[in-house]
Amino acid sequence: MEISRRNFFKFGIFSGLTSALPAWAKKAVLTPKEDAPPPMGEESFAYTICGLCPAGCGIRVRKVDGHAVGISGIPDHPTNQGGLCPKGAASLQELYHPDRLRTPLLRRGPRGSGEWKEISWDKAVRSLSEKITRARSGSKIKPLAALTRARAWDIQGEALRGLADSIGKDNFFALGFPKSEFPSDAYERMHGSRRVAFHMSRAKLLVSFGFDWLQSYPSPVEAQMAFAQLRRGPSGDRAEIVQIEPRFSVTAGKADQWVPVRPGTEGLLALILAKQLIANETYDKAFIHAQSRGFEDFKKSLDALSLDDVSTATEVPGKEIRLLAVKLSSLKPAAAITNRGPLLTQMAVHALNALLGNIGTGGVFSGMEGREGFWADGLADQSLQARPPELLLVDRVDPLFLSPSVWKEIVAKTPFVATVSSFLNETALSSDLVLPCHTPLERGHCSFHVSANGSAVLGAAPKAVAPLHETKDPGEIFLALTRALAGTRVPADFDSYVMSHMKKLRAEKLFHESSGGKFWREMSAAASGNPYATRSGKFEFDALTNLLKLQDVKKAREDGEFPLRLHLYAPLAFSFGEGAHLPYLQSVAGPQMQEAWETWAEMHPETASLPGLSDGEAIWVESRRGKIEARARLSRAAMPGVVSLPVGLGYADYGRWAKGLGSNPLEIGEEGTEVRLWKA
Amino acid sequence: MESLTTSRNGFLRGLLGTLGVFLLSGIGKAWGTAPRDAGHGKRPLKPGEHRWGMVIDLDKCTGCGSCVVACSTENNLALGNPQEASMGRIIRWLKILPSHEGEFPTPKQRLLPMPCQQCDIPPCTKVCPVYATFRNEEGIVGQVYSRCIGCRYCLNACPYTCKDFNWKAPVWPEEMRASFNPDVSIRPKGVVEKCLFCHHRLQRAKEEAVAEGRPLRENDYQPACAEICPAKAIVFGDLNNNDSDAANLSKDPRAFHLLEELGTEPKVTYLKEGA
Ligand code: SF4
Ligand code: SF4
Ligand code: SF4
Repeated sequence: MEISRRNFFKFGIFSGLTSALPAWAKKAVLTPKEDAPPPMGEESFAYTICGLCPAGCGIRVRKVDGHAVGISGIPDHPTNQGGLCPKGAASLQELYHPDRLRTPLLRRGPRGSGEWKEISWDKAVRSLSEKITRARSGSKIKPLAALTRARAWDIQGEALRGLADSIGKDNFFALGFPKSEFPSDAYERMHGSRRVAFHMSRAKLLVSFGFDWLQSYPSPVEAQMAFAQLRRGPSGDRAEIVQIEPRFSVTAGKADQWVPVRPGTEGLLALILAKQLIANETYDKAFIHAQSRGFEDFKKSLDALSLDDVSTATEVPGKEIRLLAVKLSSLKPAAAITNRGPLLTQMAVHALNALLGNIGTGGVFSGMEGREGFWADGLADQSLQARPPELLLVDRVDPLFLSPSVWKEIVAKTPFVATVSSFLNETALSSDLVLPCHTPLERGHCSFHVSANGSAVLGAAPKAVAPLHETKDPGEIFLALTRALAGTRVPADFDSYVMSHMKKLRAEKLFHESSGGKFWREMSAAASGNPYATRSGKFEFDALTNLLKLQDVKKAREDGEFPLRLHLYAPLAFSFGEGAHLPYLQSVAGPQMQEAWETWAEMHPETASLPGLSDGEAIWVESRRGKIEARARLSRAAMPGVVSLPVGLGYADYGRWAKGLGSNPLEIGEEGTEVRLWKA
Repeated sequence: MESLTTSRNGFLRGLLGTLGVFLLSGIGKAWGTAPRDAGHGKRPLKPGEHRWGMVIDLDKCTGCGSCVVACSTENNLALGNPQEASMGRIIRWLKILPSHEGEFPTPKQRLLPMPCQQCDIPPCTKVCPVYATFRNEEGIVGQVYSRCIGCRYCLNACPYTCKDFNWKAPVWPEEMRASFNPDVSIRPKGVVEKCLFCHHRLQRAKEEAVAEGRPLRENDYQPACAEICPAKAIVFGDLNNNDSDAANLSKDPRAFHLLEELGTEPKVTYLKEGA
């Protein structure tokens, strides 16, 4: 090591000189002092919306001499109150990432080959609008399908909707994390509305069914704040937190009780708990009587379910189930939460909330007035699978990563795919045209976010920094296309388009005043008088009862060939499947086993069932659909029979820090998929 | 060559280095005056003197890692890569330290954010032959990169493994240099680094206070981790100010210090989980 030699000399000179010095000078030399920081350049702050996920936290960007050099949360922003999640904290790496796309790319080789021709923006917009024109004149039923991000409304998506509207009908979709639309679907069937507010920090008992909510809550900062509230809120009360989940997750580790459950059987557990509450007559009879419909049928549909069967299927001991039912009826208000699971699970869990009388004034759940606030997601899959469009335009989402099996098929059947993205993600890589867009700090914002607790926030702020490259705002691209196709009635430039929308929303003031640090307005967060928009005006059990009739809930459980069950989870650093491209996020992805920079498969040593498999060895995880490579991590805390894999790695490109790193378990299955292991 | 001991040449150099250190420690002793620690929590206070400390409430902390990322951004920490990760050489001044107990079906786990404990009696400063690491008047244990000769004595002396060594010069893609926090210098190859309680923020806050002709207020100075924590689990302040939240919380019945028995007197206090 060369430095040591040089340093050795430095050291020699140091000791030689100091010993020759007079006493006062010795003291001066031997008193170390921090170097003074360099003279400060010109410092300024910009206030804007994080934009890395749909939660819409308020951030403050510190700029010195025009460069963004620091990020912090805005203390009085209602969504994040000064805090940020790891991703927000890493925003600068997204902005300055060396592998950002800078010019439009036209595919040259076969799809996915990574062979591109750089073209000008003019040419890109012209060729895309010509493609759309040709598609419209063709015979295809759907000339264009447009896909944007789910869960938040923003002006860029609105511009895309405008483009889609000018071309046809039923062609605008939003995409979220797989199955993330099911909670809203369940609410719709039971409340008649997709918007249900959810005051987690009111609960005295919070029971989560398979929802690693500290890591994969739709609004990550809100989740951490709610946790701190439940633990040490201002009232001094301490809520009890129970985590029902196949993996000893971060949330399970922080909970008061972890109930390990076989992947995919959480709904079954919720149903048997419902049955227990009913049998013990500890449910909220007044509520069920006055405010629900279909209770008797629902009760009857539970007849076939026995505690023993459920205990076997879920692997939760009967005694524990009984205790849980008692807990639920004694600690009030108790809330049952879940997310991203099958519809049956969502409805079963929400039925528990009804039985606990948890809905409405003072409860944990309440209905919401007003508009939905974001675009309904989840419709794209079925609709486009049946009828692939002539042209697919993807706006800042990565369907090929999030739902590879469905979207590989759709993309293969779609003659032309154009993707707007800042990086070469999986979808961009398989596209015919890639349009590089600004990162959130370079974009103007006008967006609407609804937090889980029902407060809705409208924010409007100009770009925080000047764009670093020749990229464009996604909205600018969509507007240019609309103009090229429809001509005159479209505003001449994106800025005036944004302004006209802000006028409509009465948000211009926010936009202009954002430099003062406040750019948002809270919209009515009030719960409506009646939380139900159903036809009966009540909470309805009927849809759940019908679903129960259709499904055999006690499915056969053993598969000799693939004896293990897959459990998938999204680490907070890779929330929504994104984040692996930023090195600071890589290093915090797996805090529990200090895992980072690879895909690790957690399992109990007995589960490994491979003779001689040791911790850290490379393995294949194989399902009927395919196999992926991972590093085996043996943990005595893991549930036997379960293999847990993180979602968020396994990109073919996505920049140098993600490229070729780890694997995407969504390629081989979903929650509960049967798998087996091989040594690699 | 990565390690001092991988060749004879390196071995010799190591030997010489060690001899040199012996020599100097002798000289240091002879001088007897070496003021490596300016100030001590135990001696009488000068009026208005600060003693900065941190309290981390493990009951609120969710192990989310925001503090780790905020620290990395604030202090221009090297990016890291899979190779470094597999060798355990990713440099993070603040890490989430996991610990486990028990096993399925009732395992226990603790995720503990671990910055430099800012010991009042720091073992690390005592062994530095060139006075590159020291404790300043306000209790912050500093690290002067321009003095550090990379002997890693302090790194080994730290009982909390809170110091990191730059085995290689950090690799910074040109584009990312614009993101550097100008208040924090980039470390070269061959020096030790660690959490400094975002000391540069204190320096800036003092500059500002002077410019505005007023005394420093406690809230003028917050490190990046405390500022970003979404659970508000990190409280930072002046332990000498009896009214500060940090001072009060550090005397909470739930308070404990890591490896208390070593007598290092950390200024990072943890509050244990549970009611
Ligand atoms: S939760 Fe994180 S990524 Fe989402 S908006 Fe907030 S800081 Fe950004
Ligand atoms: S940011 Fe706060 S909650 Fe998150 S790991 Fe750090 S101390 Fe814990
Ligand atoms: S924690 Fe380690 S590095 Fe920090 S002051 Fe104590 S001994 Fe030194």
